[in-house]
Amino acid sequence: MKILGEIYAKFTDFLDAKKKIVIPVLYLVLILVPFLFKSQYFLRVLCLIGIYAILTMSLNLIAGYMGQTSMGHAALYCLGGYFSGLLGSKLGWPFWITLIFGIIGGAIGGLVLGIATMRLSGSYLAVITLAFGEVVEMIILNFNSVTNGPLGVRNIPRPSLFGWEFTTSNGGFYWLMLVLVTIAVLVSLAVLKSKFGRAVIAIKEDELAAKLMGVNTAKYRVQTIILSGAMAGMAGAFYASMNRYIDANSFNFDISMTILCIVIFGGLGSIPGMIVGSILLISFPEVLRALADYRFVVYGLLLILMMRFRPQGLMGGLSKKPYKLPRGVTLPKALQARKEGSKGKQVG
Amino acid sequence: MKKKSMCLLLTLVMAASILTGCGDKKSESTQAEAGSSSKDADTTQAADNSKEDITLAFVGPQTGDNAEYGKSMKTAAQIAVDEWNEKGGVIGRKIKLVDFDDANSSEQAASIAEKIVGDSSISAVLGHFSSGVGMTAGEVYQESGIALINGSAAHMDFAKVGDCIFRNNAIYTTDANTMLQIMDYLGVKKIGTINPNNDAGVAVTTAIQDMLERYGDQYSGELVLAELYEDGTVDFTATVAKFQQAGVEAIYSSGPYSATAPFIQQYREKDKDVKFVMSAACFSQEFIELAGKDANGVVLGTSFFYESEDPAIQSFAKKFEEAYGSNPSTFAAQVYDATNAILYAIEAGNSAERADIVKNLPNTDFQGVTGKITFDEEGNCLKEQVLLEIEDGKYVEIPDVLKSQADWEAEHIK
Repeated sequence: MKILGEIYAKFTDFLDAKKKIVIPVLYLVLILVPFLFKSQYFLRVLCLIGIYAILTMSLNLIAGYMGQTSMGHAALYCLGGYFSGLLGSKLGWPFWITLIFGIIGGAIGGLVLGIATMRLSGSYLAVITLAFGEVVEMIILNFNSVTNGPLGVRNIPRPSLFGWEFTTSNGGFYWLMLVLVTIAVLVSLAVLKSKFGRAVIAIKEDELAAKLMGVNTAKYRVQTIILSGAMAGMAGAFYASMNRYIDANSFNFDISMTILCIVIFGGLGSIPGMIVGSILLISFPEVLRALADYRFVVYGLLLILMMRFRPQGLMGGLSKKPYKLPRGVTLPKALQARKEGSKGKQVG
Repeated sequence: MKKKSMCLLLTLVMAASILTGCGDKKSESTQAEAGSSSKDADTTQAADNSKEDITLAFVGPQTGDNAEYGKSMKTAAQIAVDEWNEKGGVIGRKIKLVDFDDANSSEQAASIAEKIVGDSSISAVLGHFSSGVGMTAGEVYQESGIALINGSAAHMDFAKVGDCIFRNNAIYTTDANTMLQIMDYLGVKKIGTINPNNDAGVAVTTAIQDMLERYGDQYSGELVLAELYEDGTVDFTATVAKFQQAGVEAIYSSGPYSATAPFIQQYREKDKDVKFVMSAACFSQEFIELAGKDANGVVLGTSFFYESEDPAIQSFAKKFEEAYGSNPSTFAAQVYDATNAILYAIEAGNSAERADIVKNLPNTDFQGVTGKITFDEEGNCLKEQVLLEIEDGKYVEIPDVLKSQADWEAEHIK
């Protein structure tokens, strides 16, 4: 078994070294998928995986980097879906514009949530986010004149480009999903490698210490939640136009829990973990469909075993890369030596 | 060490199952390709197909909050299929029912719909429970031209999704008209309504208001208070006080029995004389058990009554009880009729091709266990309802009170 671990380490090292070849090849294969698999069911499941990958990367900003728990993440997803869906369905705006408004909608939700939770953490924050999710659901259900209440929004337009309409079966949604997931990955990476990201991680490690070091924690907390909301809103807008019908039920508490589950399962703070987690946990109920009534028993059992034997998540804590110092910062010699010796310090 | 190996084992198990999943899909996709290849090949394929079983798909919640509804509807569909198979099948072929669990979630339903559409052996689809879930999936069915008949949706736009989408459930206007006819029968002047704040509840409330606006002078009652409650409410004391203040004489509730039963009990504590009118959602033994003696005197309209004298209904109710262990609900009976409607359409067109079924369904006309089954141009089946009253913990039919909406309109609107 130890050998397997080593093989894995060598494999990731190899991927790292050949990044410039591996990534283009990977993308080429991913782009070709709709030509290789004609089944629209398969493409639809891939799109769902993509949606959850974006949602989990969005929650990862709050839970993985900032170390706070959000139990109402579906609310931000919902706002994105409704902003985009309503503009598309009622005013007939094209998807590309409603997508931007979906992102803005999610960000506005993030702003409200961020201001409300600026000084909270731990279980208090969890409860507030839970309540936020309920509040958004109730607004959607009762603001009939705008949201059409429990009857939902119908006839949401699909995106089209130069007259070519995107559908699941022609692969349009799949390619769009690839683009959006790539954006989400790039945003996550950019956060991780910026001053902003380091400040956010400092909040996770020790909020008081971060404050004493001059980090404006309140500001960074709100900004993180806004960014997270914008990403969730993007996923919501995509979902609305793929499904063409949304109602409050499409964004209920179960969705919040699924997102949180995948984040923990994939490994808090790990971007590949979010993607692998989404692939496994979203495709699993589909793969297990043959087991009928027992599929969620098996699903639950796997989650329990996973948490028992690998509490840090699938990809959590696997990064063996040494921490890269920001440009222009050097460590004193003594520290430098110690750092090289330990070599295992995990990043994000 | 142990942990690490366990973890690797888990990952391998998952990866392996996903790979096998992919394998399945590959074969499916080739099947779909073969199905849609060229039209010349279709004729030879049809000849090959003639020996094979006809496959119908049932989709409904088999897990989650609404699993009970899904399972009972599946049982009803299976009974219809078994009956046809006993007679030798349809157009000389046996019928097979495959079932899928959508957990009453739009997200899952849409994936299943794509799966069904991609499987060229499936001829038509039955089920989906909630309107919203069914409509999400309905978009997919409509696009690829496969028929869906639902037996439980209440959303006014459900069948408007397209010409492939049908429903065999009382539409909101029928429910509203039935309720107002019952109020006339009871001779009440001031009516209050309490409905859940979801698609069905809002649709019914709006329909009642519309009906009163249009034909208000034809009914003796007037609506004085319309209340909505959120799913999961158990304490209705504040709402009861509001109704009492408004001085209502009868209350209509369209919600599920789980909410209606406590409402009735809390109301009865304060007022002994108020009358209760329910929808078919409260036509269930569980309702009587939950509401206890307060259920007595409650009246409701339903398109299906299992103690009816009709031999077809008795035979269905008996088979259902054997298979499921309880009396069939209205929804289950409606799915039973929906299954028969599809099989009649196959018989009429002498073909199990998807397009032929869609073409023949609008001509459906037979006497089912939930009344006469025909579809209007939108795809709705106008249901006739019978009036039931609960006496000593049992449903008793009160005949000749309720008229079908068409008859009522003919009589009252000149």
